[in-house]
Amino acid sequence: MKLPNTDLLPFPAFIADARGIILDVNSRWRDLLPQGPGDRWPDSFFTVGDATHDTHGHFLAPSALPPSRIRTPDLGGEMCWFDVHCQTVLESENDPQQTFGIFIDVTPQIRREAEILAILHTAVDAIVIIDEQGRIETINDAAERLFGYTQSELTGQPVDVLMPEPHRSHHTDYLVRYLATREARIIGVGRELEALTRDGRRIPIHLSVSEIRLAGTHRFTGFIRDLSDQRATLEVLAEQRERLAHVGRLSTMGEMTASIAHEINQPLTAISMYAQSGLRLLQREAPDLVKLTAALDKLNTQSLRAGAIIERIQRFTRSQEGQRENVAINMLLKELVKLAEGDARLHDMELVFDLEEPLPPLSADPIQIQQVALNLIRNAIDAMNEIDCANGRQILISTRSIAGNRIEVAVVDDGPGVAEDHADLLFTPFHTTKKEGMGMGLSICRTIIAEHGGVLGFRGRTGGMPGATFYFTLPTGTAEHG
Amino acid sequence: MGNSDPTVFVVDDDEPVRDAIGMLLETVDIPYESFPSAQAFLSEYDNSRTGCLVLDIRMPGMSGLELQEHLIRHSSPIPIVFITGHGDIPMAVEAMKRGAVDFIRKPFRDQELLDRIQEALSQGQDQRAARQNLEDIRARVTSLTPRELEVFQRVAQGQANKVVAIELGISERTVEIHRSQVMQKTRARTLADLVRMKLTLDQGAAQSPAGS
Repeated sequence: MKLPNTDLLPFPAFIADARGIILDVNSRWRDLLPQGPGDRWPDSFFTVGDATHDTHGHFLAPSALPPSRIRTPDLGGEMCWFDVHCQTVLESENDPQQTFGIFIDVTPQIRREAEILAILHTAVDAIVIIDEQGRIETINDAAERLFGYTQSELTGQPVDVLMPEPHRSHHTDYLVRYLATREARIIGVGRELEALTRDGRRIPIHLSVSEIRLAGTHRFTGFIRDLSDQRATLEVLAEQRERLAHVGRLSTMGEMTASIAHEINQPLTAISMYAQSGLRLLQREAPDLVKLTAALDKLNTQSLRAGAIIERIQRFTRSQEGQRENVAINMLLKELVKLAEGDARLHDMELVFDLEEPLPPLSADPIQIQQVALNLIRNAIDAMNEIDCANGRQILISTRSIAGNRIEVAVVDDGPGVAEDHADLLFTPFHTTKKEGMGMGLSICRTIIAEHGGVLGFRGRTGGMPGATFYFTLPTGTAEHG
Repeated sequence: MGNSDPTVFVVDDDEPVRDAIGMLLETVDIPYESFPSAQAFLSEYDNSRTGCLVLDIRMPGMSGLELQEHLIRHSSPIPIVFITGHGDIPMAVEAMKRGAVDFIRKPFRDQELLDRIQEALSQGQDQRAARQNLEDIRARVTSLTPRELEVFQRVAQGQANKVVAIELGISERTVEIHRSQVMQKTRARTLADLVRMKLTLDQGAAQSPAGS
């Protein structure tokens, strides 16, 4: 049978007999493809997928065929992709069954898909594409490497296999909630989370998700960056900074030995007096038990006092890992002053508070914040010691809330102030105007405050008063602490 | 106040230390009074009290050293035992130069403190006796006429009657009369007594500039 007038069709068309032998083709076919009448359909083509044969390799009746995709080199040798649409044609009841088919060129689409796939698989970040039920459709090579699964192992699996608890149990709820409310928690924002690998390791990741809406379906593409190296670097840096801060605290305590010794000697003196009084009381013929009890009781109180001093020092000089806690800054300063007031008293100075109450809590490393405050207080003591402060020797420690959800802690002294040519050097490491000291104090303090998201600085006092105000700011607000 | 029993005045800003020293003194039956600051002590203390001070060298406000200075300036020479702490040696030396009995470092043995207190109390008695003596001599000397005083000064310095007579332009016989008047009024039995009195007066004048 001849093809009807199909030469005007803009795509290749053919007709084949029941055995698949091509009987005729149109002119567009002839312009484009090397095959022709006599060639067997579809064996002369590479099918993409296997829609033309059943599981035993038998050729299926074309009437049963969905549109099938084939590829074949064209006359010029370029690989082309076509979607083939076939239809069974019967001329009359006696005629054998014939197949009429047209080729729709899908080469540009295939090329674009290939490019997208190449981009997907060469991406540095891991990419996981899921459907709206949360089942994995595609993962790229980077995702295979990151998670340790192959694409085929994951296809169709719920994406929560890649998540540790608690997100694992809740991911389905997250999806349902999002699809119902359209309230994005992560889409378009990105978050730092943990991922779970095939061998059970939890790794820190940054996840950002984009949503693809196509023909009423939703897909979600997750872009996952492995943060392990970045975290390790940050941890090393943080560790080194904490080590430096620790050295700073030890050095501060070293400079405070005189006042610490003095502080501890007070209760020791009292203890020794009470003990010796007690012994004298016992040596009497009729010991006064009431007095003796009082002596022992007071002795005990003083030993606790000495213990508390030592504990404060230990807590302050402990090496730690820069733990953030929710802290009440006023409480923290009041506690710190117990450590500093011995030093102040030794220099005949008084520490005075002007604390705003109440202040919102903030997330900080309490020891490091105390370290900064102690440094500022000790600097103030040193500054005031340099000159003869006739009008009282007070150091003011104040807190207040300031604009931008911040708290300012200020230490105000009546010392000589900061010389102009010295101001630039204040925060330079190893620069010092003191006989003792490393010159690291303010430099370490500035780093600590910067790490807390705040600012450390100084200003002169208002109204032409002598002295200096050193202050630091900290952002308020609490954080979740695990 | 105003009793004649020697009292230990404890001045220390640290309440437990003050209290513990008080308890010790109580167990050995030494009368004491304690004060939390130099100012508190000064507002209560009067010159007629006898005894000694147990004084913390470092205190907020007026320090122990400043209190010592104040007492010297106001001619209240009460003996002082200083209590010092770590690193206070330069201050303690300064205190000793100004006449403190001694200093002891915290923490100390009870006997050590008690010994120093005894020493201070007896020094206080000596000082008191000496002061009494000086006042007696001053009273006697003020009864001399100007001419007798001139003779007293010269004779007590060891000048012979003849020399005194030439210097003052009077006869030797007149010098002798004045001299016996001086001996009688000052109740000196020998020339040596006169010399001692003059020395005591000179020292007293040097020690209390406020009185001169």
